Amino acid sequence: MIEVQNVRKVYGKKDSAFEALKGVSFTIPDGATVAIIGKSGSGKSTLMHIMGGLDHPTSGEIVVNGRSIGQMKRKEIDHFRAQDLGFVFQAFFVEGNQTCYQNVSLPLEINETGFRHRKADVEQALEQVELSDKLSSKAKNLSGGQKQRLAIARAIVNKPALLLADEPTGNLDSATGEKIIELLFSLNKQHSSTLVIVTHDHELAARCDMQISIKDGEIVSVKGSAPSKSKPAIKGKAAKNEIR
Amino acid sequence: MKFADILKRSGRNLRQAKVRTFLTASAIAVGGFTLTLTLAAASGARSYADRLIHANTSSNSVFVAKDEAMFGSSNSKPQEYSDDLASIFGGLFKQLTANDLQKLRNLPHVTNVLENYNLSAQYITRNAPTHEGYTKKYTGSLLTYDSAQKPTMRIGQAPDSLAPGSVLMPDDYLGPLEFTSPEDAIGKTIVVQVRQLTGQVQAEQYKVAGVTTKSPFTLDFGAVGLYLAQDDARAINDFVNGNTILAGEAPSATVRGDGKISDAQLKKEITDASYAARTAEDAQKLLNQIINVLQGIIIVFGLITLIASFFGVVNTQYISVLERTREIGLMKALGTSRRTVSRLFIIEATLIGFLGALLGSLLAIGLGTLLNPIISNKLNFGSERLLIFSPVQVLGLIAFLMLITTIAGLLPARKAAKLDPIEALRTE
Repeated sequence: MIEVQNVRKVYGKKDSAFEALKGVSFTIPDGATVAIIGKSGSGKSTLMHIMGGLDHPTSGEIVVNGRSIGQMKRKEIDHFRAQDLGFVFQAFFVEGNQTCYQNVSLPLEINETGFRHRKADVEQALEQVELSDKLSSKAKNLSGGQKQRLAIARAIVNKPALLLADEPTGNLDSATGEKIIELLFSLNKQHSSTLVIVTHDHELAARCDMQISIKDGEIVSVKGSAPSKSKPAIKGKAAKNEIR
Repeated sequence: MKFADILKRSGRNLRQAKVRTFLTASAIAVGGFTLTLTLAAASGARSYADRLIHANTSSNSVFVAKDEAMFGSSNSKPQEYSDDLASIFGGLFKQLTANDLQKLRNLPHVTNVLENYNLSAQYITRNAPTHEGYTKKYTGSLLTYDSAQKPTMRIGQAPDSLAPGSVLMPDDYLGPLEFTSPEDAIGKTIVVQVRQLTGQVQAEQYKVAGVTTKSPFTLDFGAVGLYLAQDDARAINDFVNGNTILAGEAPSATVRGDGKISDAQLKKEITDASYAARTAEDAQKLLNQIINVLQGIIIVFGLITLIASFFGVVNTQYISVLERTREIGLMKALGTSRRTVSRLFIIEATLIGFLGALLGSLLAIGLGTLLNPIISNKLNFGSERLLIFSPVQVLGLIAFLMLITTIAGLLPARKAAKLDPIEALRTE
């Protein structure tokens, strides 16, 4: 369960201060698919960065399975991101000069998965996004849709509990975008992970369990609710971190 | 991230920027090349000095003078006048008197004292009766033969002792004195004329007992000398300095010990008797000191080129960080720790250093191996090598260069580690 509690974010100081988020609160149950909708400049990307531990809120808290990200040390946040988070970006951010295999194995290198398990994990992730045949192709030789699928494979290879997707279809034509969305939803069902999509596409948003609309840093509306059958999506990884 | 993964990624990054990696490594290679050759040349020079000293001195013997002024270690203050100062090589020195020589001979562990005279012939010529019509005259210096420091012979072996009336002649005199070959000279008579300060002359005849030749291991200070038996040399010295206060004196002497004490102890026995003395080891130390100074100068130049390459590595790594801002941002967003990001760039710099050092030292060793026989041939070194590459030195140098580039990589690595992932990912 992810609780966003009265999160405020202020950029700049004094006269030039700009309040990107003006006290945002909501709760996402495990396994849900959530759309955060808003126009550019509404603060939706800032919200996603804060949920992913990339940015710190000026005030307020993000609590994941009872643990506040704000109170974690930098190392713990790194660990949280490496173990429990997957990111998909609008601009893909795949390394063109590296092969698909190398791109996807990066998160496994970061969370220090043993060499023996890596190959199987990478192959499985590539299979899920239907890129098995591109294993040793350079990423720069892929099409836009393939690149985004590669980015998704990279995001799911560590089997994250929470997948954050920032405008995942923004750089794709509508047909390709549709395929990517299908893929994200099917992965959400398969892994019973939580999926948060930041988008300005209302059609896409309507297909999610929850729709959170943001305007000028404030929540305008929260529609929908958790799926009836909620599974424990965060597989105790965050809890494990505490023991380490 | 595991170290093996970091190393793999760093290596991959370097391979992706091949030209830049090569150019930066080349800058390091220049320094590595210079330093490798310098160290090899110094090793070679030390080994040469070693052979030089051992060929020209024998252990168990000590070079003795009246005082330290002979060794040039006197201070530059004006020397106080004394009646017994003799002019040698343009300087004024006190000589060893007959009394001194006797004192040295009486020291408990001394078995032999050989006077080293500073003699020159007025001229050297052929004997008229045996070589009629010959009128040419040549200058030359006269040395005391010391069987413990045998000269290099053109033919045959250096004799264990030289009988009075015989001489060892350098092969330089063969042509001028119209000998057809070294063998031709053996047993022939040459004439050495010497002159007193007052102008009186005396001609001595000597039988050529052997022909010497120059070797790179001869410390002759440029003088080509005829070796005389000690008694003959003493007789000439007495004649040349006859009727002066210098008669019976010698500028220096080689004192041989009985072998029961070390050179250093023998030296102490002599200095305790208030004479100045130098052992072979002292001479070696002096030479090594000169070599070290020369080596130091070249090493400083090598280090200066390294300073330039140091900034080259800093610059390259900074550009690399800027180029890969997005990649770094992504890695950090995916949970890569600051330490790992920093290590990636530091290890990249270390690898550049390794490549450069390897390139430089291999080039130096290759060139050295190629040139060594040519140099040895030119300098008449025989099997001796001027450049001696020691594996320990080369490995040490590679490690040192890796350390330098690692330090150069620290600042850019810090910049990379501190990148804000959000800012970095915004770069498009």
